[in-house]
Amino acid sequence: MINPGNGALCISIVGKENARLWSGLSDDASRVVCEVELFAHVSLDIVDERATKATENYLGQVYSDHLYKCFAYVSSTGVKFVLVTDSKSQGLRDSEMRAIFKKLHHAYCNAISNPFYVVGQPIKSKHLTEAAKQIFAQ
Amino acid sequence: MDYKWSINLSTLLKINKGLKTKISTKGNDTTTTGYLEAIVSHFTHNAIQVKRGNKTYPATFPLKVVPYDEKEIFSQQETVKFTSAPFLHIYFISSASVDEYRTSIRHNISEWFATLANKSDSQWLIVIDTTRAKEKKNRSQLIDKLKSDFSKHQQRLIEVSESVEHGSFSGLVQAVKTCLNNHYDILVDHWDKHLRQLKDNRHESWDIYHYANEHMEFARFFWSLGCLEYALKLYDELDAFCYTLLSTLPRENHPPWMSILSGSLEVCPKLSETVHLNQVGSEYQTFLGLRHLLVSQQMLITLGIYQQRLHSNSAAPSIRHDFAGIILRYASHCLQIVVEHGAFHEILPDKYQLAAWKIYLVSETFSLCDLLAEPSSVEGVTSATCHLHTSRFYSLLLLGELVFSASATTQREKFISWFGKTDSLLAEALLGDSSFLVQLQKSHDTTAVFLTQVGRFRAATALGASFATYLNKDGIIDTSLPYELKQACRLVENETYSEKNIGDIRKLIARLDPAEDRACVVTLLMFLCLQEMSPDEKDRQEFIDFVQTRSNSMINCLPIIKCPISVRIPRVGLSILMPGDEFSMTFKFISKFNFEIENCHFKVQMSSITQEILCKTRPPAFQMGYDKDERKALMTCIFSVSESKDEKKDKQHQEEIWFESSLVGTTLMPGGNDVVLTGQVTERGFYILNGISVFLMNQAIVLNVPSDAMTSRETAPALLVQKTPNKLDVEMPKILIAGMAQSICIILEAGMRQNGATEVAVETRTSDKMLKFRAGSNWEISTSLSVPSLQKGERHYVQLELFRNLDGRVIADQKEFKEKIFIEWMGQVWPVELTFSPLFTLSSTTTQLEASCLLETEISRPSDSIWTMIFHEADVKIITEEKNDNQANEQGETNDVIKKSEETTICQLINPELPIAHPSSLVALVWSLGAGSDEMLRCCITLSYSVTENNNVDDCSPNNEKYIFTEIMDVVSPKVEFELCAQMLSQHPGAQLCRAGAPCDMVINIRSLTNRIHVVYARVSADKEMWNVPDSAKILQIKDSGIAQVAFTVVPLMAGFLPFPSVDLFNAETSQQRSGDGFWSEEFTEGSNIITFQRTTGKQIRVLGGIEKHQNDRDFRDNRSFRVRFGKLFD
Repeated sequence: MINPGNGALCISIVGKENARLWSGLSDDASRVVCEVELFAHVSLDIVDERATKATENYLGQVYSDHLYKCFAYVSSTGVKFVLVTDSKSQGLRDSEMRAIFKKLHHAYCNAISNPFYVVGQPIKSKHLTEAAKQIFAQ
Repeated sequence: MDYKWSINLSTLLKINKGLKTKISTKGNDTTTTGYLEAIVSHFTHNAIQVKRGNKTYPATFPLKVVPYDEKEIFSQQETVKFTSAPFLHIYFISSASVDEYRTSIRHNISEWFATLANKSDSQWLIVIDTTRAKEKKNRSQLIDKLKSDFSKHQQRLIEVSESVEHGSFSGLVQAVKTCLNNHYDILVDHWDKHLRQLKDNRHESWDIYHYANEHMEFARFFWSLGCLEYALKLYDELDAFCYTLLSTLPRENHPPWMSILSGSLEVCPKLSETVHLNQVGSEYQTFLGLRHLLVSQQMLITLGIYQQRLHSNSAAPSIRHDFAGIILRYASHCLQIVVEHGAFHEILPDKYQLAAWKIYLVSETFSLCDLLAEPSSVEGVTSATCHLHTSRFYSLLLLGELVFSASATTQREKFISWFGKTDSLLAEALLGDSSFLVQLQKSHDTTAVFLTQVGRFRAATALGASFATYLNKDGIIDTSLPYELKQACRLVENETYSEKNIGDIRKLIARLDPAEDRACVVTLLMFLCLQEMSPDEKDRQEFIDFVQTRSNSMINCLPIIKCPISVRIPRVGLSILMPGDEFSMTFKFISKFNFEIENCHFKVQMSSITQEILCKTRPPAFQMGYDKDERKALMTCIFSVSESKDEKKDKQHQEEIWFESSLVGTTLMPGGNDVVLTGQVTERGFYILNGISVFLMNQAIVLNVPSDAMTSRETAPALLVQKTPNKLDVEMPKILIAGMAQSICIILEAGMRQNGATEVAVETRTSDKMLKFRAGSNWEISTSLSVPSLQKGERHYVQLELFRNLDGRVIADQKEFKEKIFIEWMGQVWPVELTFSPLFTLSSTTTQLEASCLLETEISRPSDSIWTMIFHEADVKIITEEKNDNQANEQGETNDVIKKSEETTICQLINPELPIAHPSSLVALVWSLGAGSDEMLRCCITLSYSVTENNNVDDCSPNNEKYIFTEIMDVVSPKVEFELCAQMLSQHPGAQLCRAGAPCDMVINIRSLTNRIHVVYARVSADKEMWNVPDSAKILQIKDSGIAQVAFTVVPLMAGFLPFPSVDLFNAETSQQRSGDGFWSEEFTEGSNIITFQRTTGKQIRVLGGIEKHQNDRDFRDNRSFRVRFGKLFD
């Protein structure tokens, strides 16, 4: 079974109106794309639920099953960052997970700073791709 | 799985944990029983405050009396089962004398004491019953002996006497309490150390179950003391320890002791069984068994705390829901940890066994929770409840593999035998295909409803999709279609799809009914056409073919995909238009289709501003409040577009302008398309963009462009359609003249461009019809004038001729009067007030001559008039009414039918030369009305005249309009009976003229014109400031001669020319009255007035100034020069 370093399989950025803005998958997730994406999609229910009560951007682990775990981060503008990891991986501490999301958020800000980007449209950005690659490689 | 655990709350709470606090006794059995029973009873009902950490808990010691056993003595040095050793050892002595004590007790107590003295931690008491010693009067000797024997432990010697009711018993109770407390402290400290050692010393052969059992025993000890909260805390600590322990362990290179956690259980653990257990027995010694036992104890103790709190004064109203929530959280937490750690460390049993355990755990948890509150109604535990529901459903789904898989028959049988030992419900479901499907469907529905209820739509949809996949696998395709479709739509809507999803959607389209699911098919086909990741020519062709073949009516696409057409709104800003104007805007429609779409039509809707449109994007607003009286929380919606009361009203008044592309279909190219949209404004108002619709392929598909697909670099277009009001003004003289034609000028100014000629209607709304307007050659009470088509702001002048007839009311004096006319133009009415002054005034008097009566009319012209009247004809006709006599009918009957007819008699104008009436002139016309009579005559006076300007009197051209004035008046011709002539004579001798202040005689000569004798009543009346008439009335008789004379004394009060006092004659009416002396006398009173002709009417008499008297002589002389001057003036 999949067992990467930190177990990160999928990163998904979802807009305030629930439209997917960007999604990245690790090489290990290539065989289970549908399952991982569906898991991330279902996790958004709980992200929405927690985001209203959250006192900070990082929401922690929001959902898990015997295969995957989902961590989430919500920006101040309501953009949701979802990270799906393998539940059999060792996992990361909260501080490490916060750092990952901060990095992702930074990359997202760089991506939308593109003057030709229309807000709400899917993002095509090398910043995000690079950031995701680094996270998957950890 | 609809499994119900048939258990009630009271049964659960009665589960006895079996730990007792032991007290050992030795000594005299006959007297001890009563005291021991009393002690047990006392401590059962009275709690002792015990300390644990920083908190104090009330503990009820369940005492159990056991015989003394030297093997069961607590000591920290020896490993003894903590709860098996007695808390206290008591030796009872009931000797009557010291000798008896020496002979039969001392050796026994010495032996007992020697054993206990070796164990320093043991608590003991010697209870001396002195009842018998007191009887023998040996009490003090006995006590002294015992004190000398136990001189170092005198505080442990407790004396009791007579019975438990004696005061000495309280000393025993207090001593026992102290001992129990002491033992509790020693025991707990020691137990704590022991557990810590067990926990920390995790060597290779460390047994987690042993530690867990010891920890649970410790918790159970507190549970038995009634310290439930602390007991639960201990269970939670064990839970946390196990979690932390496994979380920190690596996935590989497990410590050796971990091996005992893996493996399968012999039986499926169920809450209904494990709640009765106290320890992790050998049959449950797996990771799953440990967790299950732990959660069952946590749930049970939670119920115990609930029961405790329920009977306390501080029980919250929501206590049932609160504790139900705790139970649900424990179950969810247990499931979470089992799955998380089990999967990570691979210490889980067979997946089917795990699924069955999950099903039972969830079902039993819901049953347990149901004892307090309905699980779905418990607030604050949404996450836990969702987790339990979904876990159960997915576990059932997993077991489904066993049901329909033929290859899994052996496995299924083995599995059924695993859990079938305790319950056959699941086994029965697994054996029958249909019953399992029913259970699965039920579980799906329950879970999906709950997830939807709490807003987890995505999870609900994913649940349906999993169910559909299962159904498809088992060939139940029809049932799965709605679930798959819902999932596909949800993924498309959220743009969370992969290539596999797109493939699934293609398959899904093939399964849909093209006739029934037209909108869905079109939407999904359109979605496929828009895919960049798999541009497929086949999809495009299929989409076009489908639309063309099914285009019998318009298809509204489902709102699950983003509109493939976005719109760039032109930079129009605010445009000001007039009604009727045409306006065009160029919109840029950006198509995301990568192929051309023919015959497209575009529509843009602009609507007048309403609250609904302005607040389209504004969410509803709520206000929270709390009603203290009713103790209810109130949530009020203070703003909602959908619930706005004015919504209907707004809709009724909402005007719309549609801008459309040309009727010839436009081809929509991929990318940007500039399309000119034209619309005509009709009604005034302020219009803003409300919606854009695109009709594709001959209006087969309609796409409503959402607001987020519209881009505008500047302010969105807005149209201000204004309608400048029309203006009307009237130019006229300040005062119009009644009795001749007048002209006023109506000034019209168009507020907006007119498409054709219009009309101005003028009318007067009075009923007397005195005011008339020129209509061709006639005068009518209303008229209309045509107005040509006017441009915006253009003025048009209309001359209106009007004529106000003269009537008796108007011509009586020269006063001005007002009339109102109404001018209507372009649907608007303007009232205009006109002020009139009569052309002339007319007054009439009658004069009765001897033979005839004269009617004298005076026509007076105002001085400031610029018009001169030229009279053409002047007639007076007397109108008389005649009564016709009745005519008998054939039957001889008569009918008093009065028929009136009018006859006119033309009167003769005495001065036929009609004069010209210049301004400020007075024209008198005199008619002879014939012989006068007392009756009133009805005369009709008709004047025909024309009017010309003052300086143009000779111009009597035929064009000058002739006016006819007709007035009917009632004339009375008076019959004069007397002629009066008055003469004023001074009473001063020799004086010719009257002087002021000097009495004069007013001599009145009366001549009868009727020659009849009668008595008249003469009365003189004058201005009191001029005349003083001391005796103003006199009776006189007119004699045969018809001449009479009467004189009145009058005193002129001032000098000058004074008018004659007037004289009136009345018929004297007589009445007889009887005086006091018995004689009858005749009294005359004033009767009816007699018409007279007075020759002195209007004449004046000269009155000289008065002569000053004695005291005024000097002043008179002083003013001599003045008098001379004044006299000259009159001379």
